[in-house]
Amino acid sequence: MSLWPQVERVLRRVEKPTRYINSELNSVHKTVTGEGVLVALAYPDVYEVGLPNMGLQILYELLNSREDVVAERTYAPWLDMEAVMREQSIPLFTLESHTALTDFDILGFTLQHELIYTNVLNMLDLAGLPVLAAERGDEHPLVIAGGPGTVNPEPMTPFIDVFVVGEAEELIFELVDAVKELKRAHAGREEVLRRLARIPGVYIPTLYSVEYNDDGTVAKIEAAPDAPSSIIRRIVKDFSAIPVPQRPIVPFMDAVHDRCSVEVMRGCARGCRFCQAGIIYRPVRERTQEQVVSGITQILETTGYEEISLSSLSSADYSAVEGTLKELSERYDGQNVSLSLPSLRVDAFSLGLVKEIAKVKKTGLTFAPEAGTQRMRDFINKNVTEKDVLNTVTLAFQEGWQRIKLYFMIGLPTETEEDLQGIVELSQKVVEAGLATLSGAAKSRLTVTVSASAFAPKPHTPFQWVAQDTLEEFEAKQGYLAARLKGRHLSLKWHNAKSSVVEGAIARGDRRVGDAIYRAWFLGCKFDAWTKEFNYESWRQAFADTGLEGSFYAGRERGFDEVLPWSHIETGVDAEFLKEEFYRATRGEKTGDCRFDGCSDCGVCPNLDAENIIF
Amino acid sequence: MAKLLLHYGKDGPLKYLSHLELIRAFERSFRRAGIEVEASGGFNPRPKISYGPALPVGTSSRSEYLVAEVKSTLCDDDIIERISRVLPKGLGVFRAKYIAEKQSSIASVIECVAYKVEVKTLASAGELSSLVEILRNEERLLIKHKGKEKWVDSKESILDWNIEEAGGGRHVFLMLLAAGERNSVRPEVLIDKLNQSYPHVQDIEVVGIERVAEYVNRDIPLIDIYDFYKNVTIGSECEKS
Ligand code: SF4
Repeated sequence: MSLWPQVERVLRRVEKPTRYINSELNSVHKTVTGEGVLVALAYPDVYEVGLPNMGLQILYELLNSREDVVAERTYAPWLDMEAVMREQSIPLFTLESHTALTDFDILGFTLQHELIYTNVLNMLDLAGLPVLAAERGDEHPLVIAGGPGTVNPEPMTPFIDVFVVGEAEELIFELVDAVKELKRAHAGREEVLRRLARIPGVYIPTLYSVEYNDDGTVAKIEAAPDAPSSIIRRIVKDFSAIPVPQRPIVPFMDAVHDRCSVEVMRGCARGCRFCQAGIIYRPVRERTQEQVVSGITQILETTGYEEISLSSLSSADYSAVEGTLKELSERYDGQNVSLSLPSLRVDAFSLGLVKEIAKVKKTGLTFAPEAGTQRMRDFINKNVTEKDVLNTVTLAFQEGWQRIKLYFMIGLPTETEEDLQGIVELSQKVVEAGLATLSGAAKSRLTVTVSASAFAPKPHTPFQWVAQDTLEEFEAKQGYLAARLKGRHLSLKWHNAKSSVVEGAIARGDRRVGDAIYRAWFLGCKFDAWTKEFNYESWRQAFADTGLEGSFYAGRERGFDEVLPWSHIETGVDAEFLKEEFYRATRGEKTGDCRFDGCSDCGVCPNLDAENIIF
Repeated sequence: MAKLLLHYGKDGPLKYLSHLELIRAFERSFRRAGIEVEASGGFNPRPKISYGPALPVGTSSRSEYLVAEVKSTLCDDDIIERISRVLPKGLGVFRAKYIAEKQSSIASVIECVAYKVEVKTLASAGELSSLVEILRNEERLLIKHKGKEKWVDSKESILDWNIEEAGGGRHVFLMLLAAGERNSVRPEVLIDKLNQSYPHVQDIEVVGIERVAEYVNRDIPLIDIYDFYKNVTIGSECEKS
């Protein structure tokens, strides 16, 4: 039943009503007759943030390509809409048919980062569903979660029935088929979960029990007799065998990304030791240039987009990047189509690429040296020297760029004052390079923005054992930088260290952290990724109220022999490799990129029966 | 290069699009339709499309117009066909024609607008018409809109206001209201005025507003804006795709 009449009545009372309407181009409005499966895909943030999410767009198109499946979308209503929905008792609905989420068979969330977890709870509640999985029954939709957050699903286990770990392009059909069959057989919830646990990559938390030691660490994680002892991440072995999604939804409102974006490859093998994405999407699998170009051509036809973006973790590393950009710029010459590369390396090659595509518009350039000293860059395996940085920015200034953004992290393991001073000095040298290169009015327009984010160690990385800095340490370091990064051409930006500390505690949390998330939501936390909405005091109270210490999860160094709460989730990368990488870091040894420098034995290829695929 | 006048409408959920959102939807629809639009110069080239006055969010319309400077020389029917095929549901094109190069903008020539307003109220049709009569017989009306105030001449502003009963406490107002520079007024403002001026009568709740027609004059016979723009033939003959 459509809730549109009720929704429409309140739309005049809210900001940006376009968030709640439908009929965007390429959205699918259909019904199934007979035995079908109804799926609601949920992004736990507001529409303009959630809509561009590539993973959900892929699933949406795949699911709707089947006649027996209807997939619709839902997003977190903004605060004003939530208030009127609660006042008027309007349950959370999907956009396409404005149907209540309770009418669906599957409700699937994507867990993109820790600071949207409370929104998941809030959306379940707005839908009129019990927030706790244990309180839901046969009449409720199956609540599923996917996305990078699933590599440590533990903190969300109280709320989610089924986690899918890894890439879902193939898994999703196995799951839908199973659900369809079980629905026909009127299977009860427990039976459904037991059956789904047989699908590789599926994690059913209720089939695993966790025991703790007296010191609060995990003693063991035990699987039920018929459940696998560990869950192995699913991947699509040959990414180029998967067609480029052709009909992305074109939003009416201004979304955070509103352009034709094509994934040119999956995975990144550069091996930065702080980076979770660099581990959990391995190995590198490319698409062919032909596939990328024809995919883009199709998308432009179905969307009318005016901007093209080649997306991946590190697009300048895509082996056909030059040829692809060249072909695209020739093809769309004179048609007011712009090209962009979302991720750049600090080198002349990358700069050459942007130079080609930014023929007229020279907006800012962003580079990520990540750390201020060579020692620290070696420690994190960021293969960039000060000379690289200075050469590249000088070239950029010569080409006419005047705004440079430098991206650093503070709170990396072993950091000392010297490393902070390194950030200051490198930034100043970039300013000097700008002043030396630019002339006249351009010189006065020179701006170097330094962004210093507070590092949060993540599961499945070589730094998963280290202690995160405390809030006080972060704030002292920010103060240090603020006092020194001053001057006419310099500006310093940082993310709230308070949210990094909360993020850090959840990221490496165990099941009990779910209690704190529940409590935080109960205390009113939502939209935690929105600086204005983030409420640190409530989070502190939430941990305290549930008898947990945030610092136990964020600020504690773990022993290599500790059972990590996510140890039953296998990304394919061996724990031994992560340990070895940590040792290499402490010895200042670099590890090469396995695409060019030989295999570094991370384990992914043999464990997942896959390989790097480069064309 | 040719100037193309397009008569379109907006309804259903899409009436909640803001003016900027509508503009982007049209720009992308032209691209999808394969109709090339001229672009402005500069660092940030924009398609040369000009629109009529912005429709308030939540108002539907079957009387919207835009003028696009197109490179194409497709026939009118073809243009309608191509655009209709690619527009999102809720936007529809009714008519299209090529018009002469130098003409005044849509926004500058509109003098009055016809609206269809559906309201819900416990007041009877008789009560409503006497209220409307009182309002129309006032000499001047103080109009408050978005924090601003202005006086308008009542008879010049409200050119016509018919009431039809629709049953179930619903009524349809057919209003012809001045637009443009002098004495312009919007339907929702007048209904607010009824509610504020006569607090003793039942509240009148707006259910929906639709813009029905736009004219370039205020007297009988009214001249529809589409007819006001004279069509031209482009080149020797238009192309059939
Ligand atoms: S197993 Fe070797 S080749 Fe494969 S991703 Fe790991 S390091 Fe690279």
